[in-house]
Amino acid sequence: MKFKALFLFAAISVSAGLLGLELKLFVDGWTVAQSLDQENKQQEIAQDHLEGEIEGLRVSKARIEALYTRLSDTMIASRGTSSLHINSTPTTPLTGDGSSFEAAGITGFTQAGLIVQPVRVPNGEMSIIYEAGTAGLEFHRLVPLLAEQENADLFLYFDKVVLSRPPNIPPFTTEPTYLETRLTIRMLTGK
Amino acid sequence: MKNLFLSPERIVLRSYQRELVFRAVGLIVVVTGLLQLPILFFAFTTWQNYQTLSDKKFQLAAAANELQTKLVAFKDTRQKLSQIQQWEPIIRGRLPCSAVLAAIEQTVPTDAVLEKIGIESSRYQALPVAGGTYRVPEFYTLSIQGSLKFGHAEELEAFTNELKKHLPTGSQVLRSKLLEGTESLVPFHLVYSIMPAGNYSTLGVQRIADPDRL
Repeated sequence: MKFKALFLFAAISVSAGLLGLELKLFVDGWTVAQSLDQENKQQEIAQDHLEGEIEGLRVSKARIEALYTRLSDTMIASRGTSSLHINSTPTTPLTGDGSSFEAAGITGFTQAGLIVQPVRVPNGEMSIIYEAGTAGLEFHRLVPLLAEQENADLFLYFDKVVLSRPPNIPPFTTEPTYLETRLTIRMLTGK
Repeated sequence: MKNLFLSPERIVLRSYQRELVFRAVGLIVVVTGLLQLPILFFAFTTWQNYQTLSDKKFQLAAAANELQTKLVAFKDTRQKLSQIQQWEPIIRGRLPCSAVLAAIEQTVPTDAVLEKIGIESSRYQALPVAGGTYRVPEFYTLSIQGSLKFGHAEELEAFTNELKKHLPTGSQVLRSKLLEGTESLVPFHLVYSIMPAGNYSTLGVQRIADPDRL
């Protein structure tokens, strides 16, 4: 009787052990295959993304380069020795801290008759700041001038624009109105 | 009693054949044996699957190398794109002041005269650029002082709303008020808060990245 029980127990144990071992090996193998599949899928997604990026770069190469050139031109123009003319004497070169910069944007203002004065730049800021003013431009000449400068330098910020009608000019006058203009101009510079 | 007709081997054999315990053991052996078939089948398919996936992994690795080689050719363009992306918030945060002034010019009523226009930026955010930072304003305040002809004071509301339509999305009227004036003119004060969100199409400004149509 004892032998029979032992025999049955041994048979069950061997069978269960064999099946358990097989099941474990099967699950391990399946898990490895699944993780490999997962890895492959991730790799495929990454490659699709990269392929899309390459295709995008290929298609947009000309546009990217044109846009980069357009944007970086401004900062290239900000380097070098100054030929900037300020105040009402166009032949006087700018002297002072800002003299190492030649801002293509600012010459447009000076040529239009604005009086331009450099302002201290906060520490760490890669910019040149000017205050500009005039009392000799009409609205219809001023707006195109600002638009032209904004288009010429995409990093040019007008931090402050104040246009006011001189007090001695009556409202609804048909005469040309030269506005009192005050501008704070800020431009990004290269390293 | 001695069994004279059956040998002990035969008795043992019978015992193996007929006793419940041995039958149960036999059943276990048969079931275990039968279970080997699906296990072997699934093991084989898993192994086959693993082989396929391994082959695919090598193919993907080869394709990745090929793509990296292709990408090298676009290294310069990629760098330029990355630089443009770095500049993007600076360009987006710039309110085109000339376009705002043009919008004022287009919307101002014929019975109104403007005395002062002010556009001022505020609440700066310092964005990193090569070599330092560059401040980008988060808000602009547009302030307009002017006068309306006596009897045309109601035009202020229309002007306020019309100008708001031209300003970038998200712009808010902070103040639109008629002030006490003279007999012939009614002064007014208008203040807008403008958030530079990058989309200035309402001002009639073309996107920088758009191709030139000329």
